[in-house]
Amino acid sequence: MRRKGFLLIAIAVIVVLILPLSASAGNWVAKASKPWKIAFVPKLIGIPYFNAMEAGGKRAAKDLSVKFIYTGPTTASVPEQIQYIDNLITRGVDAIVVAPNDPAAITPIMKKAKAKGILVMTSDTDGAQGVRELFVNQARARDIGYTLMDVTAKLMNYEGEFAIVSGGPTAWNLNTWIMYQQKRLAKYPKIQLVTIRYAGEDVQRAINVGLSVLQAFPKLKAIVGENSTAAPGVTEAVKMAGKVGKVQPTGITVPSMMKDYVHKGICKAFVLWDPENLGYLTVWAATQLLEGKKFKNEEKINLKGKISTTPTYEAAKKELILGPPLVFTAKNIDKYNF
Amino acid sequence: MGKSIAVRLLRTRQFTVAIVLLILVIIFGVSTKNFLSTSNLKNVLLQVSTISIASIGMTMIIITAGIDVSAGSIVGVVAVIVGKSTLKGIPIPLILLIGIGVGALLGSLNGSIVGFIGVPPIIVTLGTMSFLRAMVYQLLGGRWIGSFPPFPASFRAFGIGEILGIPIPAWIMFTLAGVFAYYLRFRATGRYIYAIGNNPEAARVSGIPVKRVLFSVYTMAGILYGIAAVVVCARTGIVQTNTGAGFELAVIAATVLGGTNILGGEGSVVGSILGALLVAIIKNGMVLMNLPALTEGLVVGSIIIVSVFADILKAGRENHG
Repeated sequence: MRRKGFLLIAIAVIVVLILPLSASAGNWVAKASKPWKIAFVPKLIGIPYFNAMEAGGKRAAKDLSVKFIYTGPTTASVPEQIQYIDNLITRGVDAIVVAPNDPAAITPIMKKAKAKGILVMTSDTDGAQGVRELFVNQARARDIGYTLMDVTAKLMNYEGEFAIVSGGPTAWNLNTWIMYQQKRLAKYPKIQLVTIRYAGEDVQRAINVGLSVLQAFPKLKAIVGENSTAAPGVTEAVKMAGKVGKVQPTGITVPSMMKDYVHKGICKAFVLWDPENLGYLTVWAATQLLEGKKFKNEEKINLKGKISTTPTYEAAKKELILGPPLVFTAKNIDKYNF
Repeated sequence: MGKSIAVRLLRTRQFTVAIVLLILVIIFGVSTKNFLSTSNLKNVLLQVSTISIASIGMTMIIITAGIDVSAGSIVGVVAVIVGKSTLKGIPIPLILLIGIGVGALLGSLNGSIVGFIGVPPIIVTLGTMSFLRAMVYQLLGGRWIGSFPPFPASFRAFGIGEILGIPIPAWIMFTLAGVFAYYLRFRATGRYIYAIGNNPEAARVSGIPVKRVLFSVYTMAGILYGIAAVVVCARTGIVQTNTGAGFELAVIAATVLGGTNILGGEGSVVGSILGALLVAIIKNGMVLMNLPALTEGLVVGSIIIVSVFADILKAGRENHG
């Protein structure tokens, strides 16, 4: 099956070389040689974030004439997710992409899939590093941290005090983002980070912590909620404390949580990526690998008109990176419904 | 040996907690400039109100030598139902009734299994805890509600409004505390609760309807969780799949810290509210003093252990000297 794919890709390459082509996405979004069955197993189904990834995956499947299967557990359960992967192996698919609930626990089942000749990948969250062929990464942690710091700095007019309210103190991704925010902070000598507090995955706790922080630092100019519950929590705290306009809330969260605050002008900007585009890129990349394409280091993926970023491939980590994170403002927030 | 009321008061846990509370207020008041500001004290009252309201119910349950770990899940289910009803445009008074009603129903579920069937409370409520949490997932289908479209301002008032400069949740907390403190102290059925906790067999023999009292204690607790859920919902403006998760532990901590004996038979509403206040003030004060966030749990935990230890020391002195 793969050999036929190679042949086709070779023909495609020749065609590309012969024809003088503009850099339109058309070359990159060629119909697949056969209707590959590509399955995506999210951490859990039925949440807005993964619904958006599903929509992107479906769109890609339509463009490429492949079959897209979206299935997974209803809670972020490790054993259940493994069960779903096992069922997909039995069912017989060409590719399995997983957003693992536990990066290590899925390794054996991913090995089993690979042994059956199935292409195995991760997306959204990495896992089974030695086994998977590709990780489709939404954004580099560095880019997320830097962008968030830049957005915060701009909201503060590049001077004054700001505070961070994070989720759990052990959350690896949140801590990495904070580390990069602090690195980027060096660029803004007039800005001080006064405190980092933790509020778990709970909006009410984030409000409580936010209110205390606003009391403790009356000169505060911005407050950053580091996860999807902390960002709306600190925004509500700013509203309750009557500090709208004086303190700028921002952070990393899903647009549906912030829409109302953004429309009312309480929150002016916050950061995330576009999970719909991530879903598109995931199915696209799986199709390319099934067709036998090999990505080159630092290769720029041109999917113009299909997704809003230019993804790049990082060979050392076998990662395809969607691109810089997205800044949501009153201008673009209504385009997103996750 | 007739001890004066003053001496007996000195020996209660409520008194220990009140003293610790006073010391902390002085420390925080002197070392930070905002701790004693009106807006900060309002914050503390707001932060403590939902835990306090629920802890009234938990106090009654623990006095009967029971425990309820399903409190957080009950709050979750009620919050979802209340949140959804609000978005459907159901009038506010009716929403309050729905919150109280669903809370009562879920509490009575615990109550009937504990009271009439006689299954140990920890087992019953562990069961309902996961059952009801699953129900929250089912009802929400993974979507969070309240952020968009937002809850109406008239509903949010229950969580963020003020009357005479005091937050509405605090009014609700004080009123309920007053009612239940009176009930536990002066009503016959209130005294039955203590009797059951002290010795259920003796209580039964002396004609106390143990099963019915247990049933009503869990049902009343359910009502209080329901009210707490309405406040949580109105205050945060968002109902998420893990609304109320872990809430039961904060409530149990406040209750036990406030002097309610985990083995049953003693405890008070005032003590539990003091316990909740103590935890909230430590958390608030540590942010104001900008002490490292990671030491928060250490400090809260130490104070719980120290105050319980002080209690045991005093009890020891009373018994031996």
